[in-house]
Amino acid sequence: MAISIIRTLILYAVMVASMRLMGKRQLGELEPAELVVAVLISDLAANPLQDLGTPLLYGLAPVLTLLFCEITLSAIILKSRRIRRVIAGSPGVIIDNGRLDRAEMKKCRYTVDELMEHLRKHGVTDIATVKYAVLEPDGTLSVVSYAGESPITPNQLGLSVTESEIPRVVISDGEIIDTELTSVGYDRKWLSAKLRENGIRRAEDVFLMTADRSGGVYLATKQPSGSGGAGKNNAANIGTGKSSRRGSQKSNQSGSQK
Amino acid sequence: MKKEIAIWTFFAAMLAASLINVLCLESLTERVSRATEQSVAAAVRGDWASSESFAESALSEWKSRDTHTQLVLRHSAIESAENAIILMLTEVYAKDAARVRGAAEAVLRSMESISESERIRFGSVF
Repeated sequence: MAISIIRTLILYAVMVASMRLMGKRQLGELEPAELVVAVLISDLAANPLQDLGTPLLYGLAPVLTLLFCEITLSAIILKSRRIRRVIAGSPGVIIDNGRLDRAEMKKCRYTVDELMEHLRKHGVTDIATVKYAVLEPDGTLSVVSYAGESPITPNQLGLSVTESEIPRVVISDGEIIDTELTSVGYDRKWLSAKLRENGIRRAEDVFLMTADRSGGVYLATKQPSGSGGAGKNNAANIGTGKSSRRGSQKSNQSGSQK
Repeated sequence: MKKEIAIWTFFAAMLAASLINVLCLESLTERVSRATEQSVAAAVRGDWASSESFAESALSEWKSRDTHTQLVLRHSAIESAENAIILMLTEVYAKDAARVRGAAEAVLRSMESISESERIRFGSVF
């Protein structure tokens, strides 16, 4: 058991260092240390599961050792910015004020094809419109366009807009979720009134209902299956608060359409 | 920070347990090996009663730590060690000193292998 713990510590250190040296390109939205744990943990757990002759401790000890490594490394990274840069790496500015930095691209082993691919994923087809492009430590590219190429915001137009609230699911498949209901500041009394307002007698008849703090409500009722097969849902957006969306009535199969 | 302290404490405990495990296994293999050697010595002297007693004590010594060995050793290694001890016991019952010596050698090798595999050395880590 002691041997497996020591081996895991060595493997973890070697793999984190290797991933760091491989560069940002190899990572897929995970930082090097996280990727190492993701890669190792499943294999470690599978071994004692497949071979019943191997004690469970041979799988548990390395997994717990990895957990120790991960938590310890996270704690160290939180305390020290310098160590964070060593372990996780730092962002690489690929396009700086509209200028393509070839030296940085070479350092990150980042090809033009990859840059173009990432830009296309951001909806950018013309590289000349990009002011800054930053290759993040997790391998993703952050893109900042020139002000003239960026979408117009309500502030730029001098428009006043109402802040949107996150809707919570208050009825799911006929079941009232009280915790969500209270989290948006309503109670069952309000819910009953809202259902009656929409001609619904029981919560069981509702497939999905969401509500937000500003009074916005989305309602999808259950309807009995017709000759066509799977039951349809009747969906409605009802706004009683500031962000009124009254009157838009839609029908769909999943009930998730707004 | 509570989570970190908990995991560090747990890891320290796990490391300590693994080191105690190494000592326990060394002690067990040493006791079995000693009983085996005493059994062989008695068999060579022709003292079959003592030889039987030592061989049986080697087996009971090994069996007494069954739960511990099942937890920390590969089951194939446990079976191999147990089979070697039983074979030696069979030879003692058959009162064949030469064969007892051969069977005892297998027991000693098996115990040495178990002890070696758990001992923390450069070779066993890599």
